[in-house]
Amino acid sequence: MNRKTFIAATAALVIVGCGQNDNPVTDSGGDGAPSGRYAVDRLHTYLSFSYLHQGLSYPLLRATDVMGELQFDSEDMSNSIIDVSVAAASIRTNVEHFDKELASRKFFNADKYPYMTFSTDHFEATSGNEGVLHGNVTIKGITKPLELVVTFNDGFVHPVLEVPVLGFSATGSLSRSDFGLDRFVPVVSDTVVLNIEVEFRHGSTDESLAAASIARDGV
Amino acid sequence: MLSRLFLLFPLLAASQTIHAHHAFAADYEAGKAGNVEGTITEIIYKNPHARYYIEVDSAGGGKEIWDLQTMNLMMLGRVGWTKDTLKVGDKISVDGILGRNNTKRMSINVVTHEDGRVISPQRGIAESNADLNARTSLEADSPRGEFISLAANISPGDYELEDNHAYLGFSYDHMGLSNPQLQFTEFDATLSLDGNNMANSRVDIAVNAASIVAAVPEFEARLRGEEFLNVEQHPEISFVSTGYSETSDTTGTLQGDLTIAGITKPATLTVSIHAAAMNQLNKREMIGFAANGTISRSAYGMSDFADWVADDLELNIQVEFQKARESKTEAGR
Repeated sequence: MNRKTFIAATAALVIVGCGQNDNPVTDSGGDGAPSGRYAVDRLHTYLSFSYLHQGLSYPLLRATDVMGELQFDSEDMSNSIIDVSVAAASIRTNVEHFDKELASRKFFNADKYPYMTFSTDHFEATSGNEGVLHGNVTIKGITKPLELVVTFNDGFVHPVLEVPVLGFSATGSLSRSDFGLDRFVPVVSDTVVLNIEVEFRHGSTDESLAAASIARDGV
Repeated sequence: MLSRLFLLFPLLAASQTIHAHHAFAADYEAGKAGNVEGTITEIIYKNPHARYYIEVDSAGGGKEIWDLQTMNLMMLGRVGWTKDTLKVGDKISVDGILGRNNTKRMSINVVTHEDGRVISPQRGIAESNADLNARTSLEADSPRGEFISLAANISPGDYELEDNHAYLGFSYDHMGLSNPQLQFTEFDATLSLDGNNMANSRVDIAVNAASIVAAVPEFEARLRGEEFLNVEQHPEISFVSTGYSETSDTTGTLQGDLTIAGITKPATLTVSIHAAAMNQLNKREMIGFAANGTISRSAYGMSDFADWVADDLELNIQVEFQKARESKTEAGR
């Protein structure tokens, strides 16, 4: 079986699985990706955010150092738990002095608060392969609830790595002033929109990092 | 050293201008008409609005200055309203829409001049009210293009990239699992803008192909290599526009030739203008827009991993431009 056929077959199984269940979210991916511990695949994880700058444009900023683990329940995704941490000094704007300014006490104060974190409260299945992830985000030592609209894109055993993988897209928004990041509001909008594209690999974070350093499959 | 953020201070003022364009209601109480009479003390005949300051006898016996605004110069020019139509010292009576909260501002509907002329930003210059009222508004059946571009708020000419606020991103479907968000971090662009005739506008973009950023450096190195961008042989990605057609006052379709890895193909971008206004601190006109489009990577000879990675690349461009200075001196960032 070549790779394409394998993926198609896996996808077909997932689709069949969905069709047989009244609550497809809880079962999607169940045939391809088992329950268990997964870690953020840093080769395939992108956390971007944006805001309206002076009414003129929506800059595309990136948080480049993202770690996290997922306890995935393929039978009932609402039992799944995720914990993510993002290095506050890893935000990239493509303008070096702005990167430094964001890490400084004017903004994230990364020396004192090196990580932003997100932890799950509960996952609420809505329709199809979508749901709302209710959790808490902590930035600069301030914790607030955050809702992310999540799409479970797919889950299957990777045909080359032979390890189960999961993929999600998520969006959400927060008010930066809630976290003591209120400089230049409202010239720079208070609302920050999050755009998360994340893949997970079965195993612990250490195992995922080791696999990444060996495989370097790149794409 | 000025940080890029300090540049934002002026923009409190600039954003008011922006709002004045985007939301008329932000400055004027819609439908609340009024009349003021006075003598013109100052004229600012510049985009985004022509402005006339007049000295008015106040109810309390003193004098007060009112700020009267009308349309951009291009729209005024269409009805024959020029910088010489009204002059400092002229006595005028103005009907218009009053500013909010008793601010001494008004948006001009009709100006009645002491010499008898009746002047409307929509219907032009007439000898009398009856003459003016016999005319239909040019707005009703414009002989020009279908849309008055938001870009008409700023003057035509050359604009340079405000490279502190310029992003060039793209994404694709990876194995049905996720949509990686890559960027090129180094690029320059020039815009030759004609807001009065957007079809004449041009944009050229030059991207440093090696500046691609992805989730991990190893992947970036691979993308720079021969199987993908081949940056040794083809260090520059370029886009040269060949045409622009408007689909609304803020949107349009930008056609151009896109060259990647030495291969040139036509590409189409959908443009959405967010704002076009004066930056009040440095007095430079600015325009910000998004451009989105889809290109096929195989068309540029990059078809590896076709089983796993979609052929379509979704482009997401966010840019700001500022009016180029005559002397091309440093922008003062």
